[in-house]
Amino acid sequence: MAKKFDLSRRDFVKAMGSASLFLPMLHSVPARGQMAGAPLRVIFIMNRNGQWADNFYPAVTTTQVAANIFQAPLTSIAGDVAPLFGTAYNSLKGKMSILRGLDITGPVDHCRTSFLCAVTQGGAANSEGNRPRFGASADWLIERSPNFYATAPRIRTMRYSNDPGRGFSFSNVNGVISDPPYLNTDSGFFNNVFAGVSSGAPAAVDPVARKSFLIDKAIERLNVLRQNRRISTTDAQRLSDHADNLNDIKAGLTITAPVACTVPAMSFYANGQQRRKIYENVNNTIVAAFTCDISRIACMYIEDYDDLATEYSYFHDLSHRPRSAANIQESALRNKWIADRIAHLLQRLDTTIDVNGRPMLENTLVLWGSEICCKEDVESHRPESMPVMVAGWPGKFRMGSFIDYRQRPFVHVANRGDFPAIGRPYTQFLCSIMRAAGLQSSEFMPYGQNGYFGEYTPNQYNPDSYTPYAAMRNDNLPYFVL
Amino acid sequence: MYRSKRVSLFAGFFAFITFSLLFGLNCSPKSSLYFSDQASGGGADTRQGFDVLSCTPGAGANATDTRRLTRIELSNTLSDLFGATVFSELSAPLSRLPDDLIVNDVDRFENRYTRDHLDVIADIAFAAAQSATATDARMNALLTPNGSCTLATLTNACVQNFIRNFGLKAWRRPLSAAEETWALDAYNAGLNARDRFSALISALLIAPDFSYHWELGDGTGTNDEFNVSQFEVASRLSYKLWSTMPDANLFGLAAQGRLNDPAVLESTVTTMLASPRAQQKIREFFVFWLNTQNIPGLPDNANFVSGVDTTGLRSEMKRELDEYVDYIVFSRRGNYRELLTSRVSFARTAPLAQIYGHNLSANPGLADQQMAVGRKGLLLRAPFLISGTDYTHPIVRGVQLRKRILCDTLGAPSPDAFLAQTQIVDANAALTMNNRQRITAVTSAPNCMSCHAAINPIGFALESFDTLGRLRTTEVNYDASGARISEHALDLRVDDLKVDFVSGESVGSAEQLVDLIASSSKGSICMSRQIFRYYNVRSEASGGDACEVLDTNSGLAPAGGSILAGIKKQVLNRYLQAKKVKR
Repeated sequence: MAKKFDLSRRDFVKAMGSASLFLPMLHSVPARGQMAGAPLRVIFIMNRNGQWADNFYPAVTTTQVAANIFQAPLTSIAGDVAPLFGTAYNSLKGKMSILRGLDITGPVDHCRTSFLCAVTQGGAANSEGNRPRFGASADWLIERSPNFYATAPRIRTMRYSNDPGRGFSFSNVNGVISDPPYLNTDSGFFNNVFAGVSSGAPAAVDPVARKSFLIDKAIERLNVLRQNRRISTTDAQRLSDHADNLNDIKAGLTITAPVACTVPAMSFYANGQQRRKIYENVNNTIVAAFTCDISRIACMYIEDYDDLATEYSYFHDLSHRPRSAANIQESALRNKWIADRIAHLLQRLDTTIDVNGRPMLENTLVLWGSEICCKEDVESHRPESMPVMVAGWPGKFRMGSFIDYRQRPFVHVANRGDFPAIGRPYTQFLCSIMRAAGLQSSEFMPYGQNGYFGEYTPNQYNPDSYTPYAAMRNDNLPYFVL
Repeated sequence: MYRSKRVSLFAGFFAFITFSLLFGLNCSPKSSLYFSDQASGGGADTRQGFDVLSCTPGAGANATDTRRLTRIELSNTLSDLFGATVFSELSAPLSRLPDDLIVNDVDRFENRYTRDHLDVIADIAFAAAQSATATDARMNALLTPNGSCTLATLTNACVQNFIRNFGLKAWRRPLSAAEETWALDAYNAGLNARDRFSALISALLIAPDFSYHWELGDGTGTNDEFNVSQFEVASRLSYKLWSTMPDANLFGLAAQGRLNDPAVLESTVTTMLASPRAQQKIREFFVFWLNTQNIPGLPDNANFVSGVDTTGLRSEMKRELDEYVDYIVFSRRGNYRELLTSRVSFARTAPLAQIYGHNLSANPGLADQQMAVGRKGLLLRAPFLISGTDYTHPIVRGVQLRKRILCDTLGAPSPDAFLAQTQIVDANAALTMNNRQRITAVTSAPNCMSCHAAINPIGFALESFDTLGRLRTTEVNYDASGARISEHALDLRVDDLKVDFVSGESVGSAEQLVDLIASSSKGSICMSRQIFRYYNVRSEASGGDACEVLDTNSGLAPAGGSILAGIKKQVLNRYLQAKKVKR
């Protein structure tokens, strides 16, 4: 016989009280794959060779905000954020964050699979092979998720690389390897996106602007009705309340000009000509494609470093040079050229009004990273402290911050001659992005090692350093995730 | 072990009392409402202890405020305006509309739009307009009735006709010239041809003219009292009978000024009442009145259930009730008395037939199944008798009948009532009592009896039914493990029943109780009051409302009358054309 259910009055009241605590949360759960009426977009940008820490990270005093988490607001920095983030970033300080102490939990390597797969290569050691040992890159997973793309777009991911044959999108599923192609000319990239598309009226009316307009029209009618002498005093009051409520709703709306789907007019450039212009074309193509909702994901692989290079500019040797002011400055010069191309893209996103009436940058996550570390001394291919600059998705991630996840005190490793400054798994960062993009954990956790996304093979320098995070390596990145 | 079982049994009993207190049953005295028909010479009702809800000679319509559309009215109107395809695409924003909370209690209806409502309505207006204009086919479906217009052959006349025709339907009345200009301004705000229609449609929907039942009259009378317009009569009829906007026929009759012709009204309402929509609304009325969407669960004590297969039984009980109501109302065109006293059963499964005490007929639709002696009519059907426990709840049964069937007002909880009842019953002694004796003891305090003197007797008269709805001759008690622990004789005789609050009403069985209610004017008037509440979405008051209730009662109560006739009289009541503004 089934057990009787005896509910005391006290328990009933307690249960009702407890349940009521959760009621506000029911309204705070965001819809998957969209932010406040606009689609989510994501842009991944990578250049090889890592960065010098001196160039990439702000020289600013941080304060501890949680165990092994330190933070400083970027807006508190007078002048440039860091040598790489110059004047072009000054207006973006509150809209971007720089993260330090996110580590690949795998062996020392030099493979593009680290950036979005968090997995080392499948070829010979240090051969710079481009195949992951297993798993898949975040862009590959996001573009396949029905929680990100509810319906198939014209193009799932737009991919551009100035270096033919090189990208960072991979998958290795049960030995079946995919390596999506990257287009390497601005014209090819543009035509792939806009072939057969013509400019026209706005793709969709801005619902916020329309809502505001409708409220105005309703208030006009409320005012007319309120004048009618055949309505009761209660009705008149009700109409006043009605108008007040509508005005209250309207006050919460941010109205901007509606976004238009416009195929941009542009002149194309061959490699070796005006490389700055090529990237402006690529950036403009990405923003226009987002505006027309042709695609919501872009990947960009950059190895250029000046405006008039005759071919893609390979400066890998810089990453092996010893620490010196000259070497650090030379690296800054080349990488700042890349940073400025990214700043152009961020500015374009920030000044384009999205369908929800907000800057497109708020609906777009931009990640700039690399496949290896931010080096501080002689070792260039350390897996610790992957360079991470992110912008966008302010409701999901903490923006305007320099966040340092390195464990304190810094641990000196005798055979390295520096402080490896171990932080926490980089996989937490990538998993946070995928969850924020709407993916369920079950959509990415099978793509890695032992049921977790990414790789977990602590290297020879720090075999025990990540133990506290072993079971949490696919959790959301604390403090950064809101 | 045995002691703990006994404690559990009575803990459950006391928990039930607590539940009753929490949810509004109490023993604080408060007078009920009753009716007198002074207009028909009935005179004032002077029976002690009751307020009189009077229909006075020459009473005009009660003054009322303007009511907003209910959630179901809003949904139905959108469905009629745009058709099923577009309507199906509005389910997401419609689902976010706050609940109207009118099930079984119209006084909980919030007759204004909150900020949450308006936020959603703006989204609905936008979504409906976007959906209706999403494709050329949909656009042209909207445009073609307006002078064979299409998106490709659009002219100013097409737009003007569209404003006129769609505006008439959305606002349920013709637009004035100023209002057409207002609408044209909305149209011109669109970004392109398709979006202009979207802007126009959404503006018409977000306007208060769409979302309230405005009644501003036909220009006659004073600002305080006047006759409603022909289009407002059309809306009264359609929303009362169908919960939606008028159809083309009603609009046509209104435009021709024929809705003040009694013969036209009579035939129109007769036709409307026969429609599936009106029948659906009548079914929804019964759900409202009888609260049948909250039928209790069935007991799970296997010893108690003893041989009755309860799989799907609760659903079958509800289905049978619905079919019975359909049969009495629509097939039999029965009156109030027949509803309460017919023995016809529509059980279609063996367990329910077993409970109702008849063999399962091959064709219950022919009404050749009769419930066994001891049970009849609406009120002794299983949905009103079952509960999830193996012991009965006479207080709940009594309260339900008092509130729903007799329209008595029961007072607010007394804070010390629960404390008082826990002090007067010894659990060990109570084990030797039957349910009636226990409840009598528990509610014997003077501050309880002011209400329980009216509640308990009705519940006791229903003690011949257990909580599976079966007739019984003895009361068996079970412990917490489901084991049988005691058996008591039933005592069904109740005196001073107070159905009509007239001393000396006595019954000795549930059937006699039903007969008493069925023959009382209070019972049929209560049903008429419930019809008033559901069809007007507000409670009745003295004056014109009381007369309107009596109009309804004159249709459903008499021999030869019918519930349909009562509803028809509710719609075609003496104030159909009248409006009095509340000042």
